[in-house]
Amino acid sequence: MSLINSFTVTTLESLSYAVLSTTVGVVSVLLLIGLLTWREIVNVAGGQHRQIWKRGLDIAIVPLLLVFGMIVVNRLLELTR
Amino acid sequence: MQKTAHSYLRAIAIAESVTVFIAPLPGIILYALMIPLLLIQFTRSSQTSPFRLLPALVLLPILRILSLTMPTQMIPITYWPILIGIPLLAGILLTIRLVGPSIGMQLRDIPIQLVIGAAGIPLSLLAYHAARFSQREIYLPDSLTGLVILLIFSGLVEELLFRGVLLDVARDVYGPGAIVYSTILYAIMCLGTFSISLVVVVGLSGFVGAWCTQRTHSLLGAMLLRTCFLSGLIAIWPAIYGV
Repeated sequence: MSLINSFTVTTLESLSYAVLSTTVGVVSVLLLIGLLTWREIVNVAGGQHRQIWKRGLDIAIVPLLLVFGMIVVNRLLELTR
Repeated sequence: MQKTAHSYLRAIAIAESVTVFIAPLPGIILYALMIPLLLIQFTRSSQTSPFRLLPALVLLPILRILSLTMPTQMIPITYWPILIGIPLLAGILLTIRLVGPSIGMQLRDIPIQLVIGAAGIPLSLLAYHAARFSQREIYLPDSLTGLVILLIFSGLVEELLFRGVLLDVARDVYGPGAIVYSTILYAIMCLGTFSISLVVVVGLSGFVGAWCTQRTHSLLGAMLLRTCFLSGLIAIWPAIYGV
């Protein structure tokens, strides 16, 4: 009900992939870039809370990376068709 | 800490309302801004138990971002819950690694868990009528495979998130009131059903599941309830009423 509901189905079906990828897609990619950069800075800076920082950032980074991977696969499939 | 938790509840309510009722882009921007705020506040805190709620709340913006950015258009709708559910499950498992909630599938208080699970059927009848009353379409999988996928990747992942992780970490802040906090969060994330009556019934099912989880320290009853609820709403009642 929270993952797939009327709103998500209607939005994904009514908006084209091009529209979605240039609006919400851009935000998620920018967010991913920001979080990855942040993780690298934390890694380099060190500090006693480094591990906590990294684990906290991973909560957001890993799902977004999986989406990013799917977007790349999707694009490649589109190109090969 | 309660003040902070209240603030994030309001922020999530605003972001979800903007996403659903105004436009997806500004809502997703709000969600995206919330993630660094939550992580900064968690890391600046002493990581004591009340602050375990903050990284767990990151999962809600992630849920909505995933459901709107996953490239699902080329894939049949039946498989969408897999595509969205797997990355969310990864996030949930990483949260459990960080904050270590004491969720489990203990086989105790089995009669209570079965009764609570069975309560999903009458609740689904209420939800079915609520959806028909508000004349809103519910996403209905067109095959048994679709139903099983929805049950596993949507229903059970939701239970793990709301009754497994969020309920447990909210208990550090609210005590027994965590049931209400996790239920409100769940109801907010269901605003996309576009039906107030349906949101109320879904929230009620979340409340019953949360009460069962708190009472038995096991997710089993809540997961059974969700399975019965979704099966009733999607398969049983439409088959009986013919719609």
